[in-house]
Amino acid sequence: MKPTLLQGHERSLTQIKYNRDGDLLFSTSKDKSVSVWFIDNGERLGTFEGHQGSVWGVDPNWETTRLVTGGADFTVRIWDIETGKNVSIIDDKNGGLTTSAKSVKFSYCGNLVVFPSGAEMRTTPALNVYDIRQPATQGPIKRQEVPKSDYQDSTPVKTLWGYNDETIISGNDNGNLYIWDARGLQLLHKDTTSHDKIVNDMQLSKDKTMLITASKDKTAKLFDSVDLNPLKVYKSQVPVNSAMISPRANHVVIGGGQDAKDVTTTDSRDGKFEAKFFHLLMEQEFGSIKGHFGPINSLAFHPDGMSYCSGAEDGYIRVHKFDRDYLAYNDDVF
Amino acid sequence: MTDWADDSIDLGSPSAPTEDVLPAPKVIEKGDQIIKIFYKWRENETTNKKELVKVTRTFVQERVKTSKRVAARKTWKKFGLAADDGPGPQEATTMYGEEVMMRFIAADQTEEEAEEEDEQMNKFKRQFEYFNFFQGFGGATSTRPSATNMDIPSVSIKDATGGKYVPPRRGLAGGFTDEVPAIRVSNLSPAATQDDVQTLFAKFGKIARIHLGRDRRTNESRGFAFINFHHRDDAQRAIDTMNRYGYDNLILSVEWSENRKKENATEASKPDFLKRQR
Repeated sequence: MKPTLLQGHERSLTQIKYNRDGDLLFSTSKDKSVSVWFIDNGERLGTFEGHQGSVWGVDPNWETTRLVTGGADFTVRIWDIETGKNVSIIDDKNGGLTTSAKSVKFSYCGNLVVFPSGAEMRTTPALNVYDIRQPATQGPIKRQEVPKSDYQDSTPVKTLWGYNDETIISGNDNGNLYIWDARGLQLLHKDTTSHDKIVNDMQLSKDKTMLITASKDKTAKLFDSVDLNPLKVYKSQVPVNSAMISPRANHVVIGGGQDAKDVTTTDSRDGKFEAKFFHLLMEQEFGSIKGHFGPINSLAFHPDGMSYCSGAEDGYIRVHKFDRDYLAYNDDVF
Repeated sequence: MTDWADDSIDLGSPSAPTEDVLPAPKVIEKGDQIIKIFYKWRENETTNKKELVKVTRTFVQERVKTSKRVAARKTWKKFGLAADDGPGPQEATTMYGEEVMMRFIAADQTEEEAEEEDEQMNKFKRQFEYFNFFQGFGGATSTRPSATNMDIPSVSIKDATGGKYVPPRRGLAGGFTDEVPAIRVSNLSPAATQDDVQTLFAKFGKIARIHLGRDRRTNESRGFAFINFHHRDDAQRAIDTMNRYGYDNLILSVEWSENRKKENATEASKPDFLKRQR
């Protein structure tokens, strides 16, 4: 396969995400910019200008009309995708955001946004839910503070809506996972054994029944998204930055690499910057695709599972369309 | 910018370079193909003279059926930093990378592995894993196969031996295949199929099992096979006759395979997947 390289960011990528139809790809980077691309020919449709710091997370809504991004400038912004205009800003007004938002996520209906807020400014870490139909200045419709002392001295860094939008799952910087009731934001279950280090990425399977987490502790783990029952473990030799479940086959792809600050101390030829393919059930690595010059920070499967994108520390997004070699590879038994 | 894929024709250096006067670019549409021809000046690095170059670019139009929503989005105006970009991908932001191949791990199996391997066993191993996985699943979905609508013969085998795992071809299923060790045929032609091996060796006696070493991915023969005869005498005769026998331009090597499987398999040597319990 011949990958298409998208170079719209001057610094490392933080997250990439397809829209539901799979024709657009959104990317965020540490260089304050948010870009959107036509994925079939790699054409850049536009950039969303406004963030004053690194952008950590991005999510388009179901209909591809609105986009939410969260950044290190202590704002979460809602954008109109067609025009690229910023339609509202969630900042520190009315009990809003006083820290950076490390991840943002639209609910399936596209009306609610969830994001975690950290403890950087000596605030109490919290989960925030906003209704974007109301003016952002009204503050969150729901907010659950997560006192650090009560939760093993950790703060949530990644959040997403669980199965059927009934729950919110949060991954913490010490590797713990929590599942919350989405209506009242009560804690339903916590898993303190899931990971030893920070949760770098969480993604759901296409039918939203399975959750995959990627952690700095060099593993990616598969959970039942309803009750956080641990199912499978995928082991890597390097910290895992992103993991995804194929919508087409029983495959899992993980990507990562040495921390940027550790790269110079290791052999550059042995960077392990490839995307690794595992069998979902057998936990067996069966293949890999190389190409990046830095650790992969974010992975996203096309909704049809016939192609995928990876965004890396080197500032490039690589669009891979699978060739016959991979598509013909079938090791299922049923 | 010219790139190597462009079909450029050097028109030679004109006697008096008339700058800024370039022949008009042409666009020809030929069915699905769009041919763009334009001219440009190029500095010749060796002679330091300007040359007129004709550049021909051929584009192939593809028609793709999409939903209305996707088609509508294609007509959106570019915005932000891309607002001034022309139609189509821009060279500054979109590049085409080098060909990369997916590297498959464990695509080839070693002869030792193949000897140990039993296709039936492998399938059973995987089915067991699938069965366990979906049974342990939280039950949020009913579309997945569940314990009730999956018929797995393995469960009964497991029960019949009191929970202790017995490979399907040993014990319960007659067990005579293991009494006669397999013979190993190597230097087989890669074109030889399982049927070819069957016809080649059938004349020596009843064959219990043939395992042809294959590449796991491409399914091509890797030039060796293991054959289990029902009777030791047949196997011995096959070895005596077929060793150093020419077949398909290659000289076969036939010998007893070292049967490294120990009869008294202990708990420690059980496959990993049976030890793992959730």
